[in-house]
Amino acid sequence: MGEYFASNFTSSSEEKIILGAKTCDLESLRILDSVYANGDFKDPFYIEERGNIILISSDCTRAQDTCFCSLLDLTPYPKEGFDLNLSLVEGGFVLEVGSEKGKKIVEENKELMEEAGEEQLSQREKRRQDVLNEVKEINKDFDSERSFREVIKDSFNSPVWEEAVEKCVDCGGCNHICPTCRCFLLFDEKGKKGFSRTSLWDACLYTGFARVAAGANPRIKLSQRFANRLLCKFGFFPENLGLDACTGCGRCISVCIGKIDMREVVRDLRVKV
Amino acid sequence: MESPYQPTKAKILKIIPETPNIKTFVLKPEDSLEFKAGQFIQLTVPGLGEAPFTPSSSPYEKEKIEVTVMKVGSVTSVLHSLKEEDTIGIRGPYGKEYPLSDFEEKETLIVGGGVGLAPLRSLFLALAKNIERYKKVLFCYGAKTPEDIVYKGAVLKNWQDLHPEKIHFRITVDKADGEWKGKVGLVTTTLDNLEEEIEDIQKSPVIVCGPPIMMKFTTFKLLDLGYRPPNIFLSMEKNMSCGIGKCGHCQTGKYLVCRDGPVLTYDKIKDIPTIWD
Repeated sequence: MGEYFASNFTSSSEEKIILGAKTCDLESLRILDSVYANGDFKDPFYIEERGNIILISSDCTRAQDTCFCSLLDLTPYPKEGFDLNLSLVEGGFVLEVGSEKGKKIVEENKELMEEAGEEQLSQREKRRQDVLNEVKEINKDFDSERSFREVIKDSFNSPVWEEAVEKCVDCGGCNHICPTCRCFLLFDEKGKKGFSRTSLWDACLYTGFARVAAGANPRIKLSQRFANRLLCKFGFFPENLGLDACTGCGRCISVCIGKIDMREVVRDLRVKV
Repeated sequence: MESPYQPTKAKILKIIPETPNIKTFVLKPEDSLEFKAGQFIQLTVPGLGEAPFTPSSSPYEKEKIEVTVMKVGSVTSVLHSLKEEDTIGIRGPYGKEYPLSDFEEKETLIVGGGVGLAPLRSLFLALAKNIERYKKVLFCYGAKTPEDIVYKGAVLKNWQDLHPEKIHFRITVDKADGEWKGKVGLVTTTLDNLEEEIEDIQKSPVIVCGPPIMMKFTTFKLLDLGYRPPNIFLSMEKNMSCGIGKCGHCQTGKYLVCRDGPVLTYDKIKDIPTIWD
């Protein structure tokens, strides 16, 4: 017990630019902010890093088969949450200012820009609608009057979850790639002078995630953990924040080696619950 | 920058063996740590892990803090191997306290099972200190065998002598030994003939802490007896890691047990699937 430990949590006071974030990325920051930067206890490291980021987002110029922001009433072009947003048009970009920070950057770099005209703005609007229509077309079989939130809310005991996890290998890929999954594990890292406290991303799909010391586990079955992941996104977060913790980015679909598509799971829940 | 995840040091002043697998650690935190009954803390053994506990000492005791630990997992096994004068890590307090002011003028029932007595001891000492505020306290406790009774001297004698006019006890063991003269039966049997002690069940609060199976059957019996769900306070044992509502491990339905609990009333949790698992 001679060894004692230090904190290995750090944040950088350097400014960073995130360039090209899409709506699905920006929206996920609302969830992360609500967790780390709010409540009785706040995470000072997150807050410092977050404050030092300049967010330059951009409109989606095309949709992938896995994109489904439209099902969550989002658009493939950002409406808020950015410092600056870029929209590709012929011959350049339409730059939109979304914050004081963004305004300052524009003012300091005026020589690189000129006033956008009617033509560019209408071209931006047309391109935006085209991509939105593309996302809607991709998701036409999944669209319904009944929202994800409504369908998932009371579905824990549905047999659909058992069927859904037949192809799940418990890898946690969906957790780790999800921009709103924010669960972590505190752990002590061994260094030269004892231990430092640090953290690792964790995944609620892992068996031991909710297990307690004596071995009791409220979600011992994979289907329960899989269900709980979506219940967290469409139950826990809406009830606490009024926001879905899913932005339709579709990364969980592309990463899944079992080819599980949550849109299909929700569609099955609509039919079978 | 100060990390909310960083423990401070606490010295182990004394280790009191309670039962064959339960010890009470008397700790002296380097930085003062004041808690309210029902809140929890995290104890850390560097490099070996961290686990949540609700202190068992009186919240009015400012100099030291007592934590009663049953040896059940990896962290608790390491804690059990420590010696007096060793140093461990501590951080907290976290979570919400028991709403003691809501218990004033009421007949308060406490039901404990096994090591679940630990947080209830803290609550009991807080109630006993200001007993004039409360109409009555009935303390029901069950252990597996007489050997497994935690704080034996207190439970069987000292606490009973404190305010016998206002604080009553019903103690039982699942299985007696030769010496045992008391009641034998599961803790739920201490709730039989409850009307002899509690006049107004509808308005009375009850605080329950024990193993999940005991909490489940106790809750069902309390409901049968007429206790109202918002008056049933249940200690939720979940995997609290960060303790401050960030890491997500203790998410249970729409609650984070570390932030919204660790004690939640039955009306809040009754519809959460697998709540007793």
